[in-house]
Amino acid sequence: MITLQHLYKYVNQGGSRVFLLRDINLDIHSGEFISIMGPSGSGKSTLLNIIGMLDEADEGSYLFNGQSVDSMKEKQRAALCKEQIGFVFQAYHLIDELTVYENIETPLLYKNYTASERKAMVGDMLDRFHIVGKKDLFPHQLSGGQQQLVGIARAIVSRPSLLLADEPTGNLNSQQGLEVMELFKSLNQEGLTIIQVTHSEKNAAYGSRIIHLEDGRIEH
Amino acid sequence: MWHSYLKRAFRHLYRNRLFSLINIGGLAIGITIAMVLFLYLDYEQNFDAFQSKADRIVRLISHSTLGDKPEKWGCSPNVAADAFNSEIPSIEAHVRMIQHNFGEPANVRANEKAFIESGVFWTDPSVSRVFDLDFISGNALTSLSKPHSIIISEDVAKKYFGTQNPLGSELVVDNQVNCLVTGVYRNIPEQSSFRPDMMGSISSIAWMNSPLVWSNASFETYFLLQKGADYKNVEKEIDRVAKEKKPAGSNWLSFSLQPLLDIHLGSEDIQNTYVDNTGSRQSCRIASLLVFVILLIASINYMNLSTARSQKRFREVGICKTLGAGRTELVRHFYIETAVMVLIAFVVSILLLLFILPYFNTFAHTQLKAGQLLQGVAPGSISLCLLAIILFSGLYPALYLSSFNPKDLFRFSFRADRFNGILRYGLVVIQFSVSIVLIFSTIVFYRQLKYIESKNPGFQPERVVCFNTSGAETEKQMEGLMTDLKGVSGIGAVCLSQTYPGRDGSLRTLYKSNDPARYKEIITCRSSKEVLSVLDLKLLAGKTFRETAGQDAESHQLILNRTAVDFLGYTPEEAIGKRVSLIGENDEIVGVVEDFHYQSLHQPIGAYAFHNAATENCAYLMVRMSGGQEASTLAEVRSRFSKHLPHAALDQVFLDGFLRSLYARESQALDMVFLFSGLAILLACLGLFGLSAYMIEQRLKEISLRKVLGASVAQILILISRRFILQVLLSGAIALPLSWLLMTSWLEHFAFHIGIGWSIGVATLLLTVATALLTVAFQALKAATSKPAANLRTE
Repeated sequence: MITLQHLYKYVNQGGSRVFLLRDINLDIHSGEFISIMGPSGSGKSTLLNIIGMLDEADEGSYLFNGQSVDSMKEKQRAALCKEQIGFVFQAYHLIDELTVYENIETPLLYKNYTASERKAMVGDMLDRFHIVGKKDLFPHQLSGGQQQLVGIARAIVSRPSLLLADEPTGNLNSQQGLEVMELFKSLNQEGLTIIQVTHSEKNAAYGSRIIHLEDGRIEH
Repeated sequence: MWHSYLKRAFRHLYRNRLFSLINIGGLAIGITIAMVLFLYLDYEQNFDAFQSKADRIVRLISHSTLGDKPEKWGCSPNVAADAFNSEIPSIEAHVRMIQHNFGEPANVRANEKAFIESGVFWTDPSVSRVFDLDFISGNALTSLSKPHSIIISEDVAKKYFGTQNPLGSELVVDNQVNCLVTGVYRNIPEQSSFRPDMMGSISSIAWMNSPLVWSNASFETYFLLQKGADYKNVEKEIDRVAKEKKPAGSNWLSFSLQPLLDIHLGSEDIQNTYVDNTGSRQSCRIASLLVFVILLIASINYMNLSTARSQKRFREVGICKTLGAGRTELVRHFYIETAVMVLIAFVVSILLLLFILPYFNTFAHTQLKAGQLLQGVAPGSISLCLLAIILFSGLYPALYLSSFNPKDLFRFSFRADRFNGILRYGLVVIQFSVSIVLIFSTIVFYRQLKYIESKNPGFQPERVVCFNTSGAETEKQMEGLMTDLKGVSGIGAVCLSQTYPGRDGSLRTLYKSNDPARYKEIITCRSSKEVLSVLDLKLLAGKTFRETAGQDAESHQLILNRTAVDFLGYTPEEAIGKRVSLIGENDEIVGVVEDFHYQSLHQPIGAYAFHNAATENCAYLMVRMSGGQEASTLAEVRSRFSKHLPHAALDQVFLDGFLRSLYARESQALDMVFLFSGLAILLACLGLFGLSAYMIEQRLKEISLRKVLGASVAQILILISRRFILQVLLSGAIALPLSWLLMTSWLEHFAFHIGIGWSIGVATLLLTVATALLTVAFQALKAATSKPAANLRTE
């Protein structure tokens, strides 16, 4: 599904060049559950950004389902990202002015589904995550774990083929974290490709493959 | 989609209630002010528009090259109207108007009621052919066809006749002209250049009808042109006819036409006219500029406040982008937010307008009506304005906020954007500069006014009361009154005079006896000998004149002021006894007084002379009351006045009050300046309040760190305030020189004015700094006393 070859990302500071990612070569197949681990500053978030098409590499190639992402125009890339990729953040990042229902509905609004289609899809999510009774509440009325659930629901409501998660359990206690990881596992079993960045060995173990990053390089 | 945008916009408004309130409040104030000024502009620009034939009416303007500079006069010779009308087919009708006594108030009496009236005109019967006059009784076309007829306005009818029908009653003007009321017309609307209270037939006054000459110019002449006629072509015809008909040697006189609709705003260079309510194009331009400036400030405020708190919005923008929102969708979202806020502000401003308009009308002596906003081009212009505000104010927030890159969502803190920081800084500096200009101007205005009020006019206007005596029927009545008044205790001095300070006197020329080529304009005033005591003028040499002069021209006596005597080349003592040719050939100088302000302080002091020649009438009785029983003395004077002059209207003017009223225009302007400055500064403060919240929020982490490192609350406050003080100083550097230039040129309008010193600039800066500090005080204090731990925790 995803092929990264000789990927480099750097910033020019003063006269010298600081590498964020060095010579990354990675193959990710559809249906895998990848965990990316590494100390702070190793480039995990940068890598996730590039895979998620929120950022561009300076050198190297990125193939998504055979298409070359790095030679695509901005618009095409945005469209592809919208279609195929869902994001889950450590800080949940829900929109405070919207209810749970509306938060989950938001990506569907940008994809021009009809009102009844939206209703059906959001209804499905609410059901699945057992949060039907909370659909009219606002984020600040929910606990951290519940907010993250909503975040995940929002990420997958439009049925993307890839889910990117940045420290999804970072702000949760161990019980809530466990629930989220179990959820990821079942989603992956249903066929969703998941790439997560994590610090925790325990969480990383849920994945089918662990990739270690250090100083921008993949460690073997 | 829209449904969602609107929902989010309203919810966002509600969640950030304080900011929304400030934003909406600021916008509403701005829009309300703009609407008031718009109403004012509308009022000024639609003068005379109600006349049904407005586009066909023109006024004849006489051009004279007699004096030092060419002059334009609103009045023309009495022969001109018919001369042109009869020869030029494009002119359908003409009407001449002349104000009684050339503008001096007249004493009008009907039955036993008498009043002093200033709106008495004499006019041709064709007046209702040219102008719209709605007759309640009497026949419009024939009411003035006979001499000694007069038509009166509704209000005048009520005043003199109550509910009785005035038709056929007698009205006497100045106890000289008897007229019969032949018509009553509805009050003429406020927005009219032509507003006589009563019009008598011009055929009633002999000298107005014969001789018909080209050498007088006292008749305001209007023409009604044929439909479709171009007044420029008619002007050419007038030129031709004038050349034929004017006598030889009249090359100094030429004519042009002024459309009726141009009169109100286009007559600033026109003298010698009875139209006294003209406006000025400059005021209109200033008002338009003010509208623009105020809306600009309100928009800038909105932009600043909306982009403050950007941290929160960035997060939202980043999320939406990861969810598939494009730049277009986001720009649309923010524009809708702006639109919602502006429209809510608009509704609030309408309510505000309805509430304050009556107060504003009283305050500014205007007659603005909110209903005008629904007429003509107003709704369209307002909608366009609102659209412009939305597009302009929404642009910066929409573009700025939607530019946020979602990849920064993976960070914990957002780096401040340098360009936008500078832009915002610049906007605040602009607002401060505007505030500084306004504060400076207000201070200068105020001090100039106080200076004028307190400046010694050179005489004592307190406790002097002036009565108009043009209602006296005979000399004997006046003599009787004067003698009687001398016996009243409480009266210090009494005199008769042609005029009094603040009013015009007669303009003459003073020649140097040994050098007739040199001459100087001099204003003269005929009075009785007690005038010096009444006004308490200081005699530098000589004494007052004796009793009234006889018929003998040799016996004219003069009291000159210092300026006049300086011109003649004498010291005050030398001047006594010298002869000079002023009123007659051989007038004697008997006294010299110190210069005094016989006109408002707008004018410099020139040459002035009191005299006792019988060349003018003394229309005023002036009484100086000695201290103590003023009320009862005044009552005594009034009763004796009524006793001796039974048919004269009793009209008293307190001299000091009258002199103050000469500066009424400035006083009103000062009030307006106070008001608008206050509002603009309020707007600026609102903006500053929001902005300081943003700035402090951004620096919260830094502040907490400093506290941990040992900074006290006071030190933090200084740290925060420093930035604002610098902004004020920068604004001051820009705005103070500008203000100085502005105010110096305004002060040139006064012959006597204050100087603008350092202290005003310093006071302005201090005031601005204080205002700024007060505005941010609350937020600064909150930040300085917050617990560091709360702010240093990472998310």
